[in-house]
Amino acid sequence: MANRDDLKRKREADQRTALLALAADRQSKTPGSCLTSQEMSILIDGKCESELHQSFLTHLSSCDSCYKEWLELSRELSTEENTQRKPFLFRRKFLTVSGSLLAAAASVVFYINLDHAPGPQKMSVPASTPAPVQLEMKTETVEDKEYSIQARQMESPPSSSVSVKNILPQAMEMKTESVIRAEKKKPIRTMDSAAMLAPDPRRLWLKKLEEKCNNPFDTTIVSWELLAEQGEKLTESGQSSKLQRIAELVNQLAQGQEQQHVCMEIKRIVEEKTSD
Amino acid sequence: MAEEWKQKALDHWDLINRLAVRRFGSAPLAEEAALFVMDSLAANSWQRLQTHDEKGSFTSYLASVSWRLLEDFSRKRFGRVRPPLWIKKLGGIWSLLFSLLCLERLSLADSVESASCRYPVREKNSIENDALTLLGRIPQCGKQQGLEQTFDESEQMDISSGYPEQLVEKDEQESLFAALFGRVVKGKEEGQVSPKFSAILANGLTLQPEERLLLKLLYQDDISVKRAGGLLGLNRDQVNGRLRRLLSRLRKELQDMGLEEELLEHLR
Repeated sequence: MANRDDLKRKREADQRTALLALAADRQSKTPGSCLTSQEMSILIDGKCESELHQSFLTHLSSCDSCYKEWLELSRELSTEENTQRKPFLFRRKFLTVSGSLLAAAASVVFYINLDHAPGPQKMSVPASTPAPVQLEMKTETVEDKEYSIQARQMESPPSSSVSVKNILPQAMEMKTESVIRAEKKKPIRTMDSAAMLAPDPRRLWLKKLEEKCNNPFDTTIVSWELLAEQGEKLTESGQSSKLQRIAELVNQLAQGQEQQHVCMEIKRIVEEKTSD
Repeated sequence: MAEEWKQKALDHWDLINRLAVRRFGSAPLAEEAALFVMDSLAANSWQRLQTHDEKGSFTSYLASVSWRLLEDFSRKRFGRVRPPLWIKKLGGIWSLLFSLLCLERLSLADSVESASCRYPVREKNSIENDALTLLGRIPQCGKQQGLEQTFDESEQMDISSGYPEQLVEKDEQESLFAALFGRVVKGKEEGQVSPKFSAILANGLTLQPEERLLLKLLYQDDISVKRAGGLLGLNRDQVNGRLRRLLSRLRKELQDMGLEEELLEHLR
């Protein structure tokens, strides 16, 4: 701020000096006669020879009317020239610069894409988080077809989940850092993918249970006793109270309870989950 | 043949209009002036245009002829009121303000507005102060009724030739002092000018034509260093170098001529 004030004060002092000098100037008689319109036009166009140019300037320095005309016409015609000129971006000189800039920009975009290409953000979520359980609960009651669709969706990268906010700071990091980070991420992604793609025992158990309910007398399907045993094992961790209730009902079936009624109850519980 | 010249002039109608706006500022007056220019060009089967000798471009030639016709229109409309010598010496925005206030008789606000459009680098407050100083120093400003005069080319061409004019009149010196130092030198009685300042103005100092032109372009008309260099056939570094040397020489000369330290302080 102080610097700007100093500059302003300096400019005013220079201006005062110049105006005082011009006011005190012992101006000699105006040399030569005033410029004709022809002469003025060649002066403005810059088509006159050096000697003639100098003599014109000498006259202009002492003749107010010619000076004013020269100044105003130069201003006006230079403005006109500027408006008729090609836009800056399309000038030949600028093309090489703009080409280099575009190449640099393309490289940066390519680099950022490489950095984010390996997989979706969700894939890097550790296996211990409750996310897979939630996903599984959603798919419990739907058909296999729907489950496979969801599994495919989980495999495919969620392009919209990578926000600009995340990309920009990463783009600023050194390449070595991003490479190290990518290497660290790789094994996690592989394990997660395997975990996601592997059949879930609880889901398989429910599927078998459904099959058994639909075909209670089919001997090729696993028995109620075995299902009850598997149910006990699955509910040992105590994660889901609903699963425990289903396991208890299966246990009742294994002990000889009336199948149709219990199966309907199981379905009801499963549907409750869906509405959850 | 006349049709051809007519077509050429009509092709440059925009340029004539822009020149008229540049010369007069206000749109209705500029429009009237542009029509006057076109009528004058058409006189005698476009004779003014037929004298173009192809050395320079037709556009710049037409612009020059039109500018002179605009001056003719101004004299016909407002008469010829010569500015006081101190205004002439200060030039630039002072001459413009004189034209707007005393010749075209615009209001203070309109004159300041118009001047600030043509001198965008200057602050409006500063322009207004200059306008008020001018009105204060020229009480009869705008009171003379402009007399219509017929256009006389030979008279126009020789308008600025004449013998050296130095500021010897006391009131002229006071006005110049007020314009240059009025806002920075406090405590002086109105119109009081130091004897050394008077002596410098009366005796004068010498500027070379190129130096004079450089100072006029940069400090009277606020042209940028680059643009001034372009007009004078110099590059930016050459202009800066010459300007630095010239200003330090002038300060030294003013000091040697005995200008008071108080005033010199405002020149450094």
